[in-house]
Amino acid sequence: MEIWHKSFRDKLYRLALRLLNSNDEASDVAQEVWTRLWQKRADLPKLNNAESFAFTMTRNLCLDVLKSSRMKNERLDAFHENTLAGSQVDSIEKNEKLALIHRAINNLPEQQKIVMQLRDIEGYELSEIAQTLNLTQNNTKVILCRARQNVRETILNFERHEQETYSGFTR
Amino acid sequence: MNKKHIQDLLDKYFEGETSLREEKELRNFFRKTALLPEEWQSYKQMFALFEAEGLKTMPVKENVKRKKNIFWLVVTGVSIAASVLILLTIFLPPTKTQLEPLAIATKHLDTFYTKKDQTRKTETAKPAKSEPKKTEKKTNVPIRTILGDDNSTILAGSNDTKQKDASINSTIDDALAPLDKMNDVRNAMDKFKYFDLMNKYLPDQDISSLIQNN
Repeated sequence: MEIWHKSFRDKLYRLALRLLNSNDEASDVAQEVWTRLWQKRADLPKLNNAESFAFTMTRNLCLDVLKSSRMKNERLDAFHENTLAGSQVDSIEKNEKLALIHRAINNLPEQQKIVMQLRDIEGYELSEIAQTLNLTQNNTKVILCRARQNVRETILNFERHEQETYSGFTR
Repeated sequence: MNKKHIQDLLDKYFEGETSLREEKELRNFFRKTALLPEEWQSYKQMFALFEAEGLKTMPVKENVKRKKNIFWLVVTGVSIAASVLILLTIFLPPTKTQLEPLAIATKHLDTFYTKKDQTRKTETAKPAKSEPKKTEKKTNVPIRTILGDDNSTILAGSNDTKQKDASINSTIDDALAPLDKMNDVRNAMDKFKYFDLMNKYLPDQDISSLIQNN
């Protein structure tokens, strides 16, 4: 079964990382989902899409983690968004625009983040993503559209801002 | 692939209308095309980021432990090997080539001691027949020389001692002959540092006492 392959666990990890912005927490979640799946392996053939089920589990676990961390410390969320996202970007490339796009994705609302992660990064069909989020396919498409437009908006805003500062310098 | 086609695809993409295949086409186009219009530069980076994000793999926590384990395994392995080597060099019996000088030494010593034994035997065998005579002589010779009364006995005695001296001298020469060789052996053995074994097989006292005896 494909879900036992290491590459699938990496997909779970990447989704968790998108939502939690923390390598350690994302690894823990992915590992936890994997063990839970293994415990329920007898029931898995009954599901029509085990991968969607695994993604749903990952999402729910991540939301639990976020909830508990918010309960512990409200500032932790801001910490996640700013410091950790920034440090992650540094590891990818010291490219301002790339960092901006990365931050734009990470600052999306949770559902948009999940849809964009599963579609643009993992390459799943809308029907599968809809199953994961327990939404209709049309709803999923709307969410995906909003996510992409949000990212584009951020890029265009940045470029506009860049042009203004540039023209400001020339004057 | 003309610009309009890509622009249409991009428009469709941001409306969420593109299929997975069309998205792949877009991704490939932005990956392969180096020279792009200014307004598309950001999209190139966006698609590149999607690809990079899709390559992230879960860090294996055991990896760090395993690396540490390997480090300590190597350290302990090397230390164990070193200690075993040291113990072996101390307690393992010396090899054939290392024992070669010893073998030569014992061979020489064997001949040396057998000759020594032979001389003892001849010494003890000869006087055994004339033991009473010898004791007589030993006690008598000084008295006779002092007294000087019996020339014949003195002559006979001097004759006897001359013969005896000759035989003893020859045996001493025979016995001492290997000594030169033994010195060579001793020098050779110094190099091999088997001092304890050397002392066991080449005791100075024995040789000196042997010479004294003769």
